[in-house]
Amino acid sequence: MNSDDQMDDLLRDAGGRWRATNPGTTHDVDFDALAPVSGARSWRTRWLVIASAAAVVAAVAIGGTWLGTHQTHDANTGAAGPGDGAAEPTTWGGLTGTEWSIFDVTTETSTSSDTLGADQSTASLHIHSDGSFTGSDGCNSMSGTARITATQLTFGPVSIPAIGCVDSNVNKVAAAVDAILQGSVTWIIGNAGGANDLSIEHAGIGSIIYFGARPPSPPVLDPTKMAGTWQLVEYDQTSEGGGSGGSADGSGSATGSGSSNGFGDLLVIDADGTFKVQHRCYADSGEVSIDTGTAVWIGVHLDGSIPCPAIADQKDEQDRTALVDSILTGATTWKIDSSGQLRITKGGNTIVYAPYVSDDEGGAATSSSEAAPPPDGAVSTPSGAGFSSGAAGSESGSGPAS
Amino acid sequence: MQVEFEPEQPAVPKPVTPATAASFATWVGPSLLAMTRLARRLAPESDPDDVLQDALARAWQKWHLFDESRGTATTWLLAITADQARAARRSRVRRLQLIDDTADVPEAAAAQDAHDLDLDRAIAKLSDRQQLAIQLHYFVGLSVDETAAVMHCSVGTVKSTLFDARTRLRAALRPTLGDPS
Repeated sequence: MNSDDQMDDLLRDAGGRWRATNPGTTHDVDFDALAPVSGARSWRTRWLVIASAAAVVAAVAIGGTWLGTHQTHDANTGAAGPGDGAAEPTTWGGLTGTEWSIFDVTTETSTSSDTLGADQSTASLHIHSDGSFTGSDGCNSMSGTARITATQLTFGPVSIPAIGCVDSNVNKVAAAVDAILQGSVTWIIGNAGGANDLSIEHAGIGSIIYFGARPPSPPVLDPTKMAGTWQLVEYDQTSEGGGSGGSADGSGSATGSGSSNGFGDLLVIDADGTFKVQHRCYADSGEVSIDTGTAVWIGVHLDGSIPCPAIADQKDEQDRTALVDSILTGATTWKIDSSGQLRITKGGNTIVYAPYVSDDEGGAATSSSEAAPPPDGAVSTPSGAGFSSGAAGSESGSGPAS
Repeated sequence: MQVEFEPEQPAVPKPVTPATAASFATWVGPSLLAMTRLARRLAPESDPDDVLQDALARAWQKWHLFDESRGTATTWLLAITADQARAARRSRVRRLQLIDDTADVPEAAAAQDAHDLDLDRAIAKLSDRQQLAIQLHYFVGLSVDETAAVMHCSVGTVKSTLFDARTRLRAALRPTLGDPS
């Protein structure tokens, strides 16, 4: 047996012993929490419950007016309501057209509140633009119609097969959902600060919090939508031997995600067909020919290995800038995805940009998860995002690195 | 490393039905054990449960992009798990560096068998891709073919990566294992 075989045997033994002591998952996988927002479940749970409770208190305190996204349009009559003129009458801010999956359900009694475990429930609600709805209470499917107003949903007769489920917890949640989704309820989107949560409150009975997952919209491939300023938020290098970037082993595989204010790398695309790349240590420019879903970049690129002494993560910086420069050379494919991010791909490597928001415009620059997709696909071109040769911006894009 | 089989052309979204969550759970179910093991192996000092949950959340978001003609569900999900574990590990490293640049293996690992601990320390010093190959093949229990699918590379690349990794491990463990040559 040679030494490699010996090492192979040692690893097989170690792996076998480890698997024997880790026979399966003890993790209680929370499929109902698989909403667009990721992160610590416990923290989010507490936050939502607290926010929900605070909103209930606020509603009572100010005479029943909920704080949050409400639209003022009657889905049944088509009549506009008295409220916000900037409403989206076709979707009610996302209430209709969204697949809502249950996150939490709470029932109330005269003396106390009882929070049921919705973790195992698959209850869902899908309200259509014509006022009809479908869904499930976690045990049985349900359907019917609902009248939508700015603050209320009024359910008509709800069709629910009277078939029980084996799991008692599922039955408890289903009973609570069935009771709450009766008659008139108040609704609010964004009660917890995001745009993906729907709270439904039935006074005296209980409340449900849903998370929404909209079907992704098709990517934008209109060349005019690329014009503007973008900030790098993610990169993905997979091609074998592609470029000088990659992980420490040099095998050409690396990924990265920007911090809340990105990597400090900007891409400015002008309508006249020129582009500028701003790395933290240097800037570069060239010309780009953009077509539907494809773009050809022509420019003089500086050496991505230029030292950047003011930056702690210099290796990552060099890898990343080399990757960006290698992609923004020659022919690429591109698209603006449903979240408003610009994805440029070449040879299996991808760089992802989000619309850039300067400190002056919106506080800290936003990351991909924070930046709302531009309503019309366009991106801003802030005056403060200019480029200067050799005097790179900081992460806020406003100062030199050295 | 690429974590999604995202086609160049616009993907056709899967229809969303009331049974979507249940369908997803059913679809993920057979891969959960491997995902759990990989999360535990790649991010032992982070919270593997959080890594797993984040991986599932990302998979849920990207589910419509899954293309079964380019790989199995398990390899796709393991690639996502590996990416989430890597992000968690990098995030934790950054936090540790703020506290203590000499931070190494946590005390919790001290209860492990001494040889396994030495091995784990040596594995932790491999490159990211070597670690991934070792963990997928030896500890998660994937075949070389399956490992290649997760790592988006050829079988030959996996074999050479494993060989290089074993060579480095042998050198690192020579003081404890002795030199057979």
